[in-house]
Amino acid sequence: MRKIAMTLITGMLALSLSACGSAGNSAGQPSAGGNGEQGSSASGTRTYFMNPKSIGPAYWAAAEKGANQAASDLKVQVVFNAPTEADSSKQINMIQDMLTRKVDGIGVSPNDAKAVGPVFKKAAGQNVKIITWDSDAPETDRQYYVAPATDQEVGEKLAKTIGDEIGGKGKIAFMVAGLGSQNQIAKSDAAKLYLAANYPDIEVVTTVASDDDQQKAFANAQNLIKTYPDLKGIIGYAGGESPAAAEVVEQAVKAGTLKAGQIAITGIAVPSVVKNYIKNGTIKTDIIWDPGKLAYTTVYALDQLAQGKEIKDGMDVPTVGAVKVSDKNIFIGMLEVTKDNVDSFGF
Amino acid sequence: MKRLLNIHEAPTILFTLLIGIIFAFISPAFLGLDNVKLILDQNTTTCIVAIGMTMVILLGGIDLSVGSVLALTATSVGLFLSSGMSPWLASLLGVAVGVLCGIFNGYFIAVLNIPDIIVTLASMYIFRGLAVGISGGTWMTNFPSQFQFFGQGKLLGISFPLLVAIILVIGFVLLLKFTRFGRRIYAIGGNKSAARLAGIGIAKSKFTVYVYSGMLVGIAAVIFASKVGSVQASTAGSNLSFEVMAAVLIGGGSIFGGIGTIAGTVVGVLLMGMIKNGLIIAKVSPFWVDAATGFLIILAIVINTLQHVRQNRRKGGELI
Amino acid sequence: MSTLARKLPFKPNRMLVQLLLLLLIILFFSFQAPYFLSFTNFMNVLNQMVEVGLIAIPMTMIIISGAMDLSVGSILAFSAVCMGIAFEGGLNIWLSVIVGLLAGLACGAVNGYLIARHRMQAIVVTIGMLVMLRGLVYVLNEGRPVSGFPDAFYFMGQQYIWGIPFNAIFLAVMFLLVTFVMKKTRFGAYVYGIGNNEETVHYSGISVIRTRFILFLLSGLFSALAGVFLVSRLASAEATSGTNIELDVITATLIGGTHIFGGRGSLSGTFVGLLIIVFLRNGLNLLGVSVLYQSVILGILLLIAVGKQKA
Repeated sequence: MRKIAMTLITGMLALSLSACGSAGNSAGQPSAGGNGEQGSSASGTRTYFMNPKSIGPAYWAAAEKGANQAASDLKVQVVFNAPTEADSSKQINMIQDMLTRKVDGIGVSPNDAKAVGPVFKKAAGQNVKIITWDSDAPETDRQYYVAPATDQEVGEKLAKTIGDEIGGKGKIAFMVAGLGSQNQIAKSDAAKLYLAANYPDIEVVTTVASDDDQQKAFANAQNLIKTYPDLKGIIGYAGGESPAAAEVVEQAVKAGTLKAGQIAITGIAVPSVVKNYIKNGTIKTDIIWDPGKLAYTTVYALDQLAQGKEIKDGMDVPTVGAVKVSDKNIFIGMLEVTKDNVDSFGF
Repeated sequence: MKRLLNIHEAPTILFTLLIGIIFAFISPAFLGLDNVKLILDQNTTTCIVAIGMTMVILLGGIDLSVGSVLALTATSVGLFLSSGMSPWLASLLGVAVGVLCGIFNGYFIAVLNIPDIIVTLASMYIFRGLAVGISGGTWMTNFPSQFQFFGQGKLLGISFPLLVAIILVIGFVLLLKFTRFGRRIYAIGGNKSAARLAGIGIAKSKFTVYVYSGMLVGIAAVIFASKVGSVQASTAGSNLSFEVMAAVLIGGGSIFGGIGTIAGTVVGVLLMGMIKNGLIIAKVSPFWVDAATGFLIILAIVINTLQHVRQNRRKGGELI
Repeated sequence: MSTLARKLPFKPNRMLVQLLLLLLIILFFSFQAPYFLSFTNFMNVLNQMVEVGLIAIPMTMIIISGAMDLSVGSILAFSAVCMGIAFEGGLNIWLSVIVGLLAGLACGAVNGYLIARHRMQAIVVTIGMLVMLRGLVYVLNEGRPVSGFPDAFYFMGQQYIWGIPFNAIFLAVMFLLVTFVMKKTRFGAYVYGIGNNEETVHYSGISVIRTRFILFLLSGLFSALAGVFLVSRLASAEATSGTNIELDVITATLIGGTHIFGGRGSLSGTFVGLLIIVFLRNGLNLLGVSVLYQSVILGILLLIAVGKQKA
């Protein structure tokens, strides 16, 4: 008997806790009816599920702000959630769960372009609008892909930046978060091709992976500098890589083992994270796009689709501006972060 | 010579030396003074956490939550700093957060007598959630320059974190060897019921160990935050617990308690650090790094076990 | 032997407590989360729990025998990628599945050989395997996912029979089968026996080594099976699949009442524990609760639900 009472208390406790946790997120949700009978486009607020790769990185936190802003601007519901790790099976489970909830559209940044195929098919069957953002899943039922630019363009831009900075000659290294993540592979492949074509004297010596672990990225950068004393440049293909590289280079310069300016660093990084490194010149140029605007555009496009409106080239998205639309892709454009404009970004 | 070989840690030490020599052959830069310094420097946080883990494992316990405690502490330190607190105060408070986490674990494990692995599995989830929750999903970064001292500063020509690690190692070696507290830990881990009959307060010792462990993780977190320069709450220290456990066990610890030394653990940490550094210095293909690391861990365990078997053949004791 | 068998720890009381907890969770979400209480959602949940469930079967047995296997997630990925590569190499898909399963068995055999035969500590060996196999996955395929399997293969993970996902049926059959083995055969009794008192089992003339070895073989095989089903469900074999799945599996096993120090526990308990976790997660997802709170809730639940186990 005591055990049963204990369990009851346990359950109550855990569940009341979960209720508290959800209060902030699901307020004002249409809670009528415990069954799934309502049609998806019933009157009332439209609900969209925004699914980044994972929850935690600053990049996605900035995207969440944009998504929420879009929600309040467009007067729609946005649920922004993802697993804590960039794991595709957990991500897909979550998408399936949200499809059960009869959302009107999903915006997904897939961890694995192929693996989302079946769940997208299911979504399309339920007349749910599907847009991929940040990472694409071509060859699936997705309707549009929202991105700053193609992976190729981003990769080439990074390659060009580093090529110009080091004068087109020397050894450089790549730092990625995951050796298996498609969008990073695509970018680094494009960069390699571009370098081979335009800067034949640049040699890409290696690629190191941090598994999204800051300390590992840091140690990787330290080991790189040690292994290749004549290293001239580092490109970081994920948000955590170039700050780690910059920190290592800065410490090495301070310790006197490295000349200031010997290693050029560029990469994709959120301005607020690399602000200090850009200001003191460790990083000269950093490539980024506003993840908030990316998310905003995604929600906006989902809403357009849900209302049966068309998505046109040069379409004006509020707070984002005109976007380029070509072949089911929506591009919002890249930004170059330098010393002069680093303070002007709000993310 | 024979006596030397019978030291508990002998196989691990020999293996470590062997690996070192192999790496030195492949790339001469490996044994350079600054690379040695680099390896030491890269492993200070792991080493500090491993001290706590050694004591936990000596008690026959296991602590899966260290990575989450590290994330929580580092994130809190970041928050304290960004609220304008002085670096010293923020760091002290950070260590206090670590101690609190230790008290949480210790309370459930020692006082409520719930198995270690369950409590720390649960607190792993809880602390991680809290860490990301209080960080609001953003990174802790742009720390003030005075704060960098904890991770990058130099004292008497030695890097500050290394100095802290050395002091802590020596301190805890002495604590385990020469105090009643230390001998109690070995007694409890070796034979719990005998320890209880001998009138040793098991709960009290366990609780103390977890508090120490929390404190050590707290210290490691401060160094981590200062050294790496940015903290991402959702991933900081995510693989730490397995890594540290492996180091302790490679260093001769037994998961069943009672066997192991901090000195052995330090060797274990160094071995793991050397492997990671050496593989990159040796320009091994990035795809092979993890595979080789795992293989070497298993090899270290194999060698370690051979020694145990040799010793235990005489004693005829049970190992598993 | 019969004395061992009689000690089989099926405590109706404990089961009742867990079922009650499960019921509470389902009730709560039925009221709170729209769409939770629907046939499609339940089937959805069942479809999602298969991989964790398949691995939980041998994990329960291994924990009952007083050990632990942390390498399951890496074995899953390793066999999935082996299967993918075999298929890309032009092998028939079902032959590729067999290649995947063999890969899993091989990993299990290595674990078993080191742990059972050479009495190494299970936790360390499997941590080593965890790192090494994950690394080998990247070596094999440079981290690029394999996809483009034939439609017939997707049957395993995506097809519904009478509205019930095929893989969930498979999982249920497996659970029943292994429950039978654990309850009615000598092997099951040995497993409990080893967990309770290894020496006694040893002196009874039973090969502890063989029993243990078989357990780790099973663990490898089931992890590989989970890998095959995952690939079939997701239509893609990737290097990161199964990361940290061991924690989910262990959590389910523990909530299911298996004693962490071995000797006690049951597969039925694990099954209920599994349901508790997946329904909790599904319900919280439907409510739109951020994963951050989800992990805190899971932790607290684990602490209170299993806190009754005494060290």
